[in-house]
Amino acid sequence: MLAGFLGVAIAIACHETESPTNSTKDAQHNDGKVTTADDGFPAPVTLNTNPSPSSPPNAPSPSSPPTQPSPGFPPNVPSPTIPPSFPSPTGPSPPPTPSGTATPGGTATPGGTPTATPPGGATPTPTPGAGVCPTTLVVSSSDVPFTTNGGGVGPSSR
Amino acid sequence: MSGLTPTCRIVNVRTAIHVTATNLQASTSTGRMAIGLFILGTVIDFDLVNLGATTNQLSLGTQMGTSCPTPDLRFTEASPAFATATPPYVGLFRPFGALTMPGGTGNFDRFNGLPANNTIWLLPFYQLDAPVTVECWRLELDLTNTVPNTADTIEN
Repeated sequence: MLAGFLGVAIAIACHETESPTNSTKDAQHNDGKVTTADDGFPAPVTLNTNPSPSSPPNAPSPSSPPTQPSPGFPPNVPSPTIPPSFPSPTGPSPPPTPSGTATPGGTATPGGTPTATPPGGATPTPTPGAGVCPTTLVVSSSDVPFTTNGGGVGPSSR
Repeated sequence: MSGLTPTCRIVNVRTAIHVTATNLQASTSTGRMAIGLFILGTVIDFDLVNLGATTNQLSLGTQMGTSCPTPDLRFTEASPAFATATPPYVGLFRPFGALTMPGGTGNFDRFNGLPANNTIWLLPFYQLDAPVTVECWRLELDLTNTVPNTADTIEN
């Protein structure tokens, strides 16, 4: 029979630890597995309760070039001169109205500022600020780095 | 960077594990295996499974639960006792509970109200007759932020 206390540990620590992606697992506990056959207590798993995003956000896609200004509208073509009306039977018609001056084309509107494309893939989990208390906290031994401390403590036997 | 506020306290616990062994029958041959759930320095009297205090039956097969990283041997309140589990021990079961009662309390009340910050959780195995391997372990804590009342302030 195996004697003594054998087990696994997870730490919910206040201090900042390495983000999972930047940490290396101890060779003894590769892949998150802990075998309880050892006499010593396995090194505790240190869990960062303020995890950094597991993967950095993708770089924003290159800004699309501004839209080329559209050319100014061409000046309106002068309206043709209205031909004089034929005199009505009841009297002469007013003199014809002269044609208006052509309105210049409007100023071209420049293209809008390109919006960076949101990062693809998983959305990084926001890092909690100071003094947070999430409704639910999930910690797992399979996605956190293990740290070794050369042994551990715990009840010696039951 | 700081983490959980000191007033952040546990209101409920759920946990899940995946354990493998060459032969669980050999690992539990005396029918006394116990799987604890402790908080270092605070809780050392809580078991998820305690064969010796319940069925005294051996576990069979090569695994308890079948998957990682989200284990499917889960412990949550208001579920059947682990004594009803059969290989590969997949499903929802209630914990044995605190050892304050001979048959266990069958719930996670032992952890309720405890601060969650700066806690080190342990998954100890007792009375094993051969090695087992913890493939993965998941812990879910429901938390609430409690503001110390005046009485606490005066007492402290």
